[in-house]
Amino acid sequence: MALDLDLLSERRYYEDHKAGIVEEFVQPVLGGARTVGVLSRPLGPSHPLGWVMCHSFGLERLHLGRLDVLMARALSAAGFPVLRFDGQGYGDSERGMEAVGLTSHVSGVSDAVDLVAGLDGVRAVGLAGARFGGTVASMVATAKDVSSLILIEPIIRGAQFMREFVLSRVLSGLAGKGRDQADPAAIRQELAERGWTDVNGFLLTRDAYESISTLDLTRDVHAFSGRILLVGISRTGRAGVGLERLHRHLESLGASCVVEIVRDQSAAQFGQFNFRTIDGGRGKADTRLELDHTLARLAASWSLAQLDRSAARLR
Amino acid sequence: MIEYPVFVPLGEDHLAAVITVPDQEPEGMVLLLAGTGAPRSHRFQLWAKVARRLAEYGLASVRMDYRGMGDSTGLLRQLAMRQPRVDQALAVARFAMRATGASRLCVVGHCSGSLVALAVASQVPECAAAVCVLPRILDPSPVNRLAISARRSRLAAFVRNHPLMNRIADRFRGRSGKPGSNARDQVSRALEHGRLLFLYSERDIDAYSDRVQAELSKIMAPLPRELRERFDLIVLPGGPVAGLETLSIQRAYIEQVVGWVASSMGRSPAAVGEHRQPEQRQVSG
Repeated sequence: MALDLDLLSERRYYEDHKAGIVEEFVQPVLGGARTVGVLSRPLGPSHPLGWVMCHSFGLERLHLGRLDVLMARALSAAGFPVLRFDGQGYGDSERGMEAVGLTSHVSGVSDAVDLVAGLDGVRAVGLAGARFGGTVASMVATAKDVSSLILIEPIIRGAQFMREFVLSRVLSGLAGKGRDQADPAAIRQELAERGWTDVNGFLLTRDAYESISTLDLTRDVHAFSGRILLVGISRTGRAGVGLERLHRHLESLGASCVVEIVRDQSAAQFGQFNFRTIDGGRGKADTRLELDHTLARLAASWSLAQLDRSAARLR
Repeated sequence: MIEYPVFVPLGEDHLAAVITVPDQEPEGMVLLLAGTGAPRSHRFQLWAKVARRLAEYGLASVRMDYRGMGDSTGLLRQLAMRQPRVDQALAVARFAMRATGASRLCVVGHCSGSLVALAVASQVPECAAAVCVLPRILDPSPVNRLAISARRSRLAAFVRNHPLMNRIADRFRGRSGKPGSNARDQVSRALEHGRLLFLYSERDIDAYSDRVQAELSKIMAPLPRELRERFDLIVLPGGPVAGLETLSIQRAYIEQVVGWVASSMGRSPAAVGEHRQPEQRQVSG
């Protein structure tokens, strides 16, 4: 019996009339190889601003994946077309982990911007991302024609992010999670001599480590005059020093930047595994679902407000 | 090899899945099930890699997001381990078999997905083989439950940082409660129509222990020899498999799963690759 291509093609998309969206699987070439993405669109008329979701780095891509999906659906339900996709080296993409680096993240998102810009009715493109996804969005916005950014707890200094990433292997070794103990200096030496290292099952290349370590958004984002929603997540309700520094820098470039702080008790765990063992090991509970919904609603309402401002200016 | 992403309808929801089809007519369909919190491609693209390797053996596969996970619709707030999401797995497996024309099924499940895999294998007569990675066949005892609940506490961190105390704490880590109520029945029903592999590693002490091996022996004892011979227990050296937190365990896992599935579906002898030979343990019956 042959493949039922009609059935496979019919099921590439679904319509959700309650949410007012349609989602369709796409398989574009992004970042130099084929990958899988989902294009979410409103069932009704679309606004002329299309969004690209930028995912985070390493295992954070997995832990923050649901937030990306909820945000894409909330934006789409508010009338915006949105593309989310697996960057090369992640998920269903053609290439493996050895492809992952700053270059692969940036080139995948750059290609995705071109794809969304070419959709019917789209006249401007925005980028949204959490943690390293926000960092990538900011970098791409410097080089491409991007009108809006939604940055959720973006990584501002790559050196600190890489230090913590490598430290996670050291901590894992101390916790006896099956690997030999290693100190950060030994890991860096391994990177220098062999060109890659294994960080808790993730293949980190020297190129990725070095290029991300030199990143500093307050220096490397040197041109952007669009609109930005900068979201901080904090236990106290106060913005962190880094976020304030980034805010000042972006405003100095001429961007219109709004800062929103979301108060959450688990702020320090944002980007980490979000399922907690309950009932003595007989179940699991998602500890971040409410926060993810809050962030998705915030992104959608801010995007709609920007449209109102544009319309008011035209009037 | 070609991949088809699809949304499989189930009630009001749509389950996202990717079907991988070999260049030739598929000789069978392999359903790949991740554990809690992992998307359809699994951690570190593990299922994507397994799917592409299986296609080389002429086997199609489908990897899926459970309801409320990945690109599937719906919400997942809490998950009870003893209520596996069998309806979702069956819906996706049946859709993939219909779309590709495959008539035989194999199911592979990791961690909580292994309980779903076992349930599917016991219910589907066309299921010729099943791989359960890290199946918890024993429930946690009251002491285990206390230890599990305290995992994120300061006391637990203190214990983990002291090698001697850490070794002493090991005795509370392996599950030592009663067997899960369905395990015995599901294993025997799965073996009536197919082969079954339980896969652990030496360091998966939460899921695998001498007590687990003894329990498996008890499950096998009353079964006819023909059924007992369809069961394999493999314990990989090193590990742990839980979390897949080294590249070497990922490679060993892929080799083992692909080799065993291909062999069980009549495609080729099991290939273990360049890794240390895993220990194939005898379960006495």
